[in-house]
Amino acid sequence: MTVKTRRLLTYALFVAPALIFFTIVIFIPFLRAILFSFQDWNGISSDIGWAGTSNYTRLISDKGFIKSFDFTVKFVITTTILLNVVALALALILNLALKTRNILRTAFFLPYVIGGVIIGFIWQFIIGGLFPEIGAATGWAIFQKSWLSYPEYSFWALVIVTVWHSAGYFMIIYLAALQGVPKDMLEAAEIDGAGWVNRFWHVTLPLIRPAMTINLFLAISNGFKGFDLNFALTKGGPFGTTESLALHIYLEAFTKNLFTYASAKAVIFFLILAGITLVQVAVMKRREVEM
Amino acid sequence: MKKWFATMMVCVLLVVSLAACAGKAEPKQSDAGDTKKAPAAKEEKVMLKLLQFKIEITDKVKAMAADYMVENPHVILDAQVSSDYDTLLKTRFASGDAPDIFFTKAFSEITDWSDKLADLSNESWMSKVSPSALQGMTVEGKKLGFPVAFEGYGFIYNKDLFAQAGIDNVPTTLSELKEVNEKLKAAGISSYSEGYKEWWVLGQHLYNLPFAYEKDPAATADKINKGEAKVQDVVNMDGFFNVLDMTLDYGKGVESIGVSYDNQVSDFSTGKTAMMQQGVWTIDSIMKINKDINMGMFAIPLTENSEDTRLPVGVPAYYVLNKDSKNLEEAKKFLNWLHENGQKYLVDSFKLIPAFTDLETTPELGPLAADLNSYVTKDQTIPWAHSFWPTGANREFAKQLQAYVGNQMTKEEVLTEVQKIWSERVSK
Repeated sequence: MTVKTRRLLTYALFVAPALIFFTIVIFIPFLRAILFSFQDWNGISSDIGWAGTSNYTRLISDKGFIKSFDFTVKFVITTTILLNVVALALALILNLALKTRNILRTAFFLPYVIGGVIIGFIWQFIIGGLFPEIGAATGWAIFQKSWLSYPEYSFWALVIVTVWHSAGYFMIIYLAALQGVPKDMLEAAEIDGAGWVNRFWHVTLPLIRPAMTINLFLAISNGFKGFDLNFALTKGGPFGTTESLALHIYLEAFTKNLFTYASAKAVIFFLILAGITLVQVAVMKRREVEM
Repeated sequence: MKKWFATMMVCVLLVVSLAACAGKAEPKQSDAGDTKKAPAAKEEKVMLKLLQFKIEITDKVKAMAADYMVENPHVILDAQVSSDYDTLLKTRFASGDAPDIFFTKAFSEITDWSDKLADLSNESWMSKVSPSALQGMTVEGKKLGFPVAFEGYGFIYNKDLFAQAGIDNVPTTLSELKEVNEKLKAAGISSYSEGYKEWWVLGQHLYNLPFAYEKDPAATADKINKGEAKVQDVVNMDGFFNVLDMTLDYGKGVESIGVSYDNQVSDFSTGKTAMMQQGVWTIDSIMKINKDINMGMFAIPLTENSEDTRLPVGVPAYYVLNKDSKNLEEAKKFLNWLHENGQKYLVDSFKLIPAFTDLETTPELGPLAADLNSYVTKDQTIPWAHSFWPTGANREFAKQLQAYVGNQMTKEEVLTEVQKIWSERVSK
């Protein structure tokens, strides 16, 4: 056995577990879903018929799908902007020499450790139980409303909880990038007379672009795939105004028994998401600065 | 050779990780505690997998399974109770891990599943099934289910608060209901805090009423399916909107769509509201919050004729058997046993109202069951007509009605949308 083949074998063995699981759990079901999208099946019966492209042609005029898509796009844009702004601000503050910064870093990261469904339930109690109490105590009109009863409020409830949940994670990525910014460059800029704003804008920001690429990608793809929080916090309500695409597809498949139609939606969903994220990563990559 | 050692380690790791993955398939010892080993343990044990919803009785189902295994040492009865039941059941079937015994709902759903179900027409207990439980499980002349219980719902009311407001009789017509609400309002008592966030409270139970009050609900649904009638033709649709408006005007109004089931039950149990549209299944939750509550249940009227007023009673679930099960005969024996011991398990332990003529409703089931039973014995019941709706339509209907509650749609728009959803689901 030559060195080369042995190396190849070791390489293959290390990759194999991940590759096998990826194939079984993600790739094969993915192919199966594409096949399903051309079939006609209710998820229960024993015979699966063929539908040709009718699942896709029906989709064009599906109001529910378009409504969910609208909501999801709005949600993704809002959370992507807010998450990155909040996370970057937190990272900048916690990159300063504060005494409590380790505790604060942990505190901000903590929500991310809790699962989405549990978060949803906890916030349901906060919004349903605590907010009215605050409203009664302070007299602020914004807390006197039942947030989950109104479409706009439900939307913002989801946004707030999402930002609260994930900001810590994004913050850690920004923190890591900030610590990679060489001190000497910042000092050089300071000596050259650059103020705080200029140093941030012209030195720090270009150098943390790789982190921004990652964070924007994560925010966009997580936002599009959002399911558990919708499921637990608003259940898509009121009257379906906060039904994310993922939740919409799930409900189509499992409560309406439109299994193959939902598969067609999932395929379209995949194409849209893949398209958007590929463009985003390509654009951002080009703007990254190599040191 | 160090490199060989490394390669070996990788191989071992790989095998271990794959083995861990396969570990799930091993027959799991039921956590119900089957500690007693049968004397003739040599023979192969029969594995029966039971899957059902109704998480509120999880412990009791597991206890029943344990008892069954003690009496039948050759059987392992693996009972699972799930809240996300529909999804789990389909995925279990899809992955080849189909349960032998499971729950199905009446009419549309049992029809969807029918080509996987064993015909139980000739089982000995079938003759004892209450007549009104039969229709829901009969598909193409075959009887496919073992009815778990009767359930019913209406307005559950707080008798003390009613007395405080000077109300002596439960309302049996729309105007009497209005009067009750006015009296409660005058006494400073809030009537409702309805859980319209839940699709089933609004879009299934309440919206069932106009369809159930039809002379022949099945025929009406059939006509709508065939396009011979429209949802707008349902006679008591106005009465329904009348009641819906009352639950808003004398309740939380627009904000009702933010009220969850938990909020609704807790508001009623703690005496914040005098009524709630719910059913017998809430008894445990209410008692947990306030065990001294003095309450009852009455049928929701949709007309001005008190003789029309009836309580919707249905079978929430049937036990059905997978016809491709390896142990179909054992599964049938289990249903037989469950019927023979029905009083002990279905009634006394699960606290369900039996849907068998030879089982009795006991006072221990509480005031809601007693009121339900009085409607049943007087034959003043209507079916759960929502079971005739196309599968999954209930959630879509709920969205339209929530939009009505939220002042986003008028009554006419709601009915147009409902009709559209119905026709689309049928044409699919």
